[in-house]
Amino acid sequence: MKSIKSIGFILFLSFAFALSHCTKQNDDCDPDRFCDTLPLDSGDVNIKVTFNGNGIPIIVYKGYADQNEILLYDTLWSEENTYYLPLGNRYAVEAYYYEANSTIIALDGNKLRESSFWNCDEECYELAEITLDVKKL
Amino acid sequence: MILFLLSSTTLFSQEGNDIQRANIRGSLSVLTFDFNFDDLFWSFSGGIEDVQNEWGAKLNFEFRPFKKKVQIREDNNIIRQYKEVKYFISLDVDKRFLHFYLWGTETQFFAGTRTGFLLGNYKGTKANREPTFITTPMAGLCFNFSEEVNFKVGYIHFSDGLVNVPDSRVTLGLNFILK
Repeated sequence: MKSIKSIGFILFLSFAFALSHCTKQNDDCDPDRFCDTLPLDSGDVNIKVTFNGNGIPIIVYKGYADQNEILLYDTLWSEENTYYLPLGNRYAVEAYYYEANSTIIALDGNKLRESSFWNCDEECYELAEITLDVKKL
Repeated sequence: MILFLLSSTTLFSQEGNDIQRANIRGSLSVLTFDFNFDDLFWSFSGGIEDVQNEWGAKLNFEFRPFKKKVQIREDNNIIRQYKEVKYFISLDVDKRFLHFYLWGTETQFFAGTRTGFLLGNYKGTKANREPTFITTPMAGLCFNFSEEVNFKVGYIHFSDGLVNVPDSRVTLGLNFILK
């Protein structure tokens, strides 16, 4: 009986410790840290391709690629490019690699979510970013 | 598969052509890995093991524990490259036979198949992978550490249609036979 109580107490402590890490860490306060309290409406979508000297055509979609809502066409002349796009949306990108006998179409996608942290009981917003990796294998 | 089981039970039973009375026990495996230099799958399975006639059947759930870039040939001219999450739900049937000692451990050969459906999805598209029915033959060595624990090492031919991943894999599995 005593051991059951001990185990119960340890479980309770572990649970309380775990819960304490799920709550906002309002104790963390650095008055010198920059805090932007105005929410941002857009964030960075970084697109990585394999650049081999030829331009790499890409298509950026809002949502999933098969929903076919095309945001932009572009041709990349470097390994990486960044687009500043509205938050809260999912984005997908297709990169086209033309080879001698075939075309490789690389696809990646993710959701661009708001990014923030708490400092001195204030919610501070920071630039959100996602990276879509359509480098050729 | 059923023919294989019936014939192998007859062929490899320890008393010639007489199929011995089955001694069915539960079996469980949580540490089974199929891998090669390009890919890795982890599987959980549970089922039955006939310890008398030395065959087993398990329901197997196998998955790749990370997203992987894969290439799939769409037609002669187009290869699609995705970041893929993949699962394989299968029936794992295998037969153990012969007894010999290797490095001081009682060892047997095993042969069998995993038969089931490959499922999965890709990042950036709502379209899921078409469920694909595949059969993956496998064979190798089974080290019987005790009546309850064995360790299988073998070859599995996992043909999942990827351009950039070879079909040949090693399978490693720690199996527990329940009392």
